[in-house]
Amino acid sequence: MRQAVDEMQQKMKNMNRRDFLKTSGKLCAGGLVIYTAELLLPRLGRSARGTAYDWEKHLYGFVVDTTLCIGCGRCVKACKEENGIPDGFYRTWVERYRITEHEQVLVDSPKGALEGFTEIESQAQVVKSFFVPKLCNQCSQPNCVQVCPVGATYKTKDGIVLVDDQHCVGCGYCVLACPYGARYIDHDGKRVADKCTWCYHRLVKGLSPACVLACPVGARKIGDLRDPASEVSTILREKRVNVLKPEIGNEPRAYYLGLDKEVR
Amino acid sequence: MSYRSHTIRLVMIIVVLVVVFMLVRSFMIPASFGTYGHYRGDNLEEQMNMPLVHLESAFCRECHQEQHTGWQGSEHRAVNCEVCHGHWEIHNGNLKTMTAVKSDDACMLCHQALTGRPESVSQIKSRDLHLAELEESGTGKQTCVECHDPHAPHATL
Repeated sequence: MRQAVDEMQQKMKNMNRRDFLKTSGKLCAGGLVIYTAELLLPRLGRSARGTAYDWEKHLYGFVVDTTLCIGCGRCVKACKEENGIPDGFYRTWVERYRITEHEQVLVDSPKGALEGFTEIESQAQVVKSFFVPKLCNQCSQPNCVQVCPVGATYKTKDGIVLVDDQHCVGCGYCVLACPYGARYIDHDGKRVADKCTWCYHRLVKGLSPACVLACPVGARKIGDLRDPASEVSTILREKRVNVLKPEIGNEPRAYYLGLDKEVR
Repeated sequence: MSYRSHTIRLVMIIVVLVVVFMLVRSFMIPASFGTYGHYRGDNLEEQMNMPLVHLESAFCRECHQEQHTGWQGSEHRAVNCEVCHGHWEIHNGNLKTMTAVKSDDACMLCHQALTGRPESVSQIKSRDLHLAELEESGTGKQTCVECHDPHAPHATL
């Protein structure tokens, strides 16, 4: 051992520039090999990940029946509790539209309808009024994913757009990019973007999202678009559905029944 | 000859810089980034493993079979257990923390007559007015649940 070290020291003393460069080159090449291996190996291991849920076999769709919604706001409460949403922020909310005889459109959503609605006296006669639940539309072509500079928001193969709260830098581009106002950043809390996930943690276990569970009139429905017999697939096939802001081309997977032209 | 040694030195510097860049990059980018796409693959499992707060009414049936059966046959069958009783999480671990909601405010969330509220749900203009009407008929009831059992809400007078 001692002899080997001595030899090495002797070699280093005698090393000329040529030998030095040769050795450095070898070291760099070695580094590259290690780096490449480090990149590839975990992926090989991960692709064989065995979980019961196969996201290739599902594609979720949501139907909101605005003709049924009674504006009780139980969906908003359930969502907040299920997902631990801070005060003043909403992953889902309910809007009330009141259209007067002068074609004036009045929209309100007190506390996102967390505590329901109260009657408002208006001077002009209200000729048309209805409730519209809103939530993330889980667009097939999501603007928010496109603008994220760090890859913190992404679309899963079963069609859900998620936010990685550990990777998000809170720049807020996605909040501005969303045409539906479905995203928010809690600047006093986690300081990262957040939005409705259609309760992805429930979907993968075969449960309905909390809002769907809480709706007492069945105005919210979730279903698998890959299953032609699901309630949502049947509605999309047989009923007249629309999406919010179709002109933008985001191709939402939240569909609305009884959507009025005034709803934005 | 001297040109050659310069070239080699330059190439070496570039190679070293590239390797340093790649090593720094591998530290900066999370290990699972890019596993499934342009995002951190581990986040998928984190999302899937978020704790459940609500369960489903079928789960409540395991212990509360009698109530479940009665509720299933009532007009309130579309209103899941956790809507009125609170979510399962508060029940989990401490069975006494879950109680029945008997406040009139809870009833009025759905049954208050409102502009825009579809008539498919039975509604009253005002709770006080409704009670006053009953007062005249001499029942003397004070709260909703005295006449309307939430598990079978059709009024029993």
